Amino acid sequence: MNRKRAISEGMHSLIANRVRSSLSVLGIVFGVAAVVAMLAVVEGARSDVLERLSRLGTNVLFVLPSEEGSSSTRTMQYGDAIRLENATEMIHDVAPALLCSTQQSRNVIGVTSSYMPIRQLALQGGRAITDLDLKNRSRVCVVGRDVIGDDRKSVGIGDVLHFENQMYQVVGVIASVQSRRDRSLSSLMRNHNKAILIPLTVVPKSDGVIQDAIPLSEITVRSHHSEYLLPLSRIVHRVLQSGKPNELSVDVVVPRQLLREEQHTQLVFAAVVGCVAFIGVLVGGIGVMNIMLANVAQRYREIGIRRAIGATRVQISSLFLIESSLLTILGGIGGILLGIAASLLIAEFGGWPIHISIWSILLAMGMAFAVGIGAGWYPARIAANLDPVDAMRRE
Amino acid sequence: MEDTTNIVSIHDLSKVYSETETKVVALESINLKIDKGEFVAIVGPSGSGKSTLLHILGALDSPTSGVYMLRGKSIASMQDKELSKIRRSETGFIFQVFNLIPQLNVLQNVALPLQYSGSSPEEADSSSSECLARVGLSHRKLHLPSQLSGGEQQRAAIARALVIEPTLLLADEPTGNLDTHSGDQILALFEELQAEGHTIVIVTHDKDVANRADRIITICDGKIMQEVSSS
Repeated sequence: MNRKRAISEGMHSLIANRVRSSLSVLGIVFGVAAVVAMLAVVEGARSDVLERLSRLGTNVLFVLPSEEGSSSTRTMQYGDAIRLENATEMIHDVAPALLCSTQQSRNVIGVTSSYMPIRQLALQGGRAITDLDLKNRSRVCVVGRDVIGDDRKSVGIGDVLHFENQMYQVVGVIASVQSRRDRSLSSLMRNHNKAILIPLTVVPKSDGVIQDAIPLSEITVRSHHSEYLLPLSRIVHRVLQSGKPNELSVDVVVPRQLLREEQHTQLVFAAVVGCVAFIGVLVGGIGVMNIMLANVAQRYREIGIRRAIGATRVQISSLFLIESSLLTILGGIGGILLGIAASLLIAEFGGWPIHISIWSILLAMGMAFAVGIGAGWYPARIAANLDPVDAMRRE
Repeated sequence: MEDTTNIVSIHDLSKVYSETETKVVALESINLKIDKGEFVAIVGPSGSGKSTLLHILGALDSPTSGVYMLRGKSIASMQDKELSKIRRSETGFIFQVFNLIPQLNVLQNVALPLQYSGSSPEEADSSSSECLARVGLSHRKLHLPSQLSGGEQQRAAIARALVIEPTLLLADEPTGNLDTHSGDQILALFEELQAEGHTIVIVTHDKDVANRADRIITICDGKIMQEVSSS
């Protein structure tokens, strides 16, 4: 039988029983919607993690002063960073830094020459802070794109900025960085568009102290390979903390692990929604099978007539398989639209990143189609195996 | 043994239903030949086996034993798929209750057998239109069966049987659900079709209907009791 005509016949039959059809397919609609939403969240979480990791660097860890017992311990110092850098071959380089002030429009950070490469910052113009700046204690700075000057205008190379009674000449501008709020990494993912980088040796707190004693608020450690990060975090503890009273106490943060924990929440959500989706599709499939069985029972006589005028068993079963798969495909389309809407709501009100990929749509569609074939199979078989003469006699 | 003028050749054919514990013999040792262009009536009381014989002739049912040759093809041993093919290429069946599919319009109903044999929708529609014109229903093509009178429905059903240009036209009480006038029109149509060369087998218990046939076969308790040829 001509495929187009067979499909249009199936469509007509569904429309003739539109209330029954749409009720029976509700399970499929919700099941498919849950699948689409689940995949959107999983994919969103995955691409978000990858994106954030790529911005922080996949092979860095952060050393921060410990939040516990800070009163009894000494502060982290420049000398600690040097000790760390020389401690093991696994370390590529370190970037000690001191966050001097966080105002609305400017974050002043004392840095060394390794800060920008480790933080993956590029220059838009001018030059970076060099080792020579540190050695000579030059009062220079590299600024972010959004830094506002003393005259409330944006800042360019050659301008002079005032900060805690000192003047700093702008020697470089950082290329624009895509900034975004980041809950779990907020302290580490600072907005460099508003940053003012100055040599660590000219921060106000370094006045009158030897270079090794300059206080630090963080040390970023870059390893040669991301595999080294876990052993490296143990080495960092061992090198920096002796355990004696009045000694240094630090926390080591590996972004990878932090993100993994956050991702875990989203994956638990996805698993729950996945179960709902599975149950929805299962129940939906049973609903469709039920309605198709009723459909076959109602049309015994028609089946008999069709057989009597020459339809083969295959042609009879495809009559019902086309109907059940049309039903679930339409339900699938409804479910995809509902799922996209639900994902957008999750993104809007839950604040979770979502990503609706084409393959998740295809998967949902394929699932709906498979349920249609699966649920239609048994009723279609019953229809195909009816004896033509018997079937025509039944009412 | 085969005579080329014989469209139907049945030899020692039996049909036994054994679904329940007791066997029911519907047909027993039937021997029958039907020539091309013949108009045959099968008569007999209810339950005599005449409908079963017609179903076997129309490849809707298979005999338990015996030989049934239709245009030289052995039908008795065929599998379901081949029987389906016989039904959509060799035999046109007409029922007492018309048996049109209610949700399809008249044209779609008539075109259905051609659709099943793989004709394109356009071919099927044009052949169906010709057949509807032949039975005088051109003006009813796009109506649903429920919008037609009984006589018109039966004519549509005849068009559906004719559309495959069947070797054998089979009718089971075709006038049983019609008033006298409509019944007469249908019988007149059968006579015209016979004149055009169609071979027709009709089951009836109406004597007036049977008398219009070339030959009347009387069946009782599954056996042929009598064969009378009208002069």
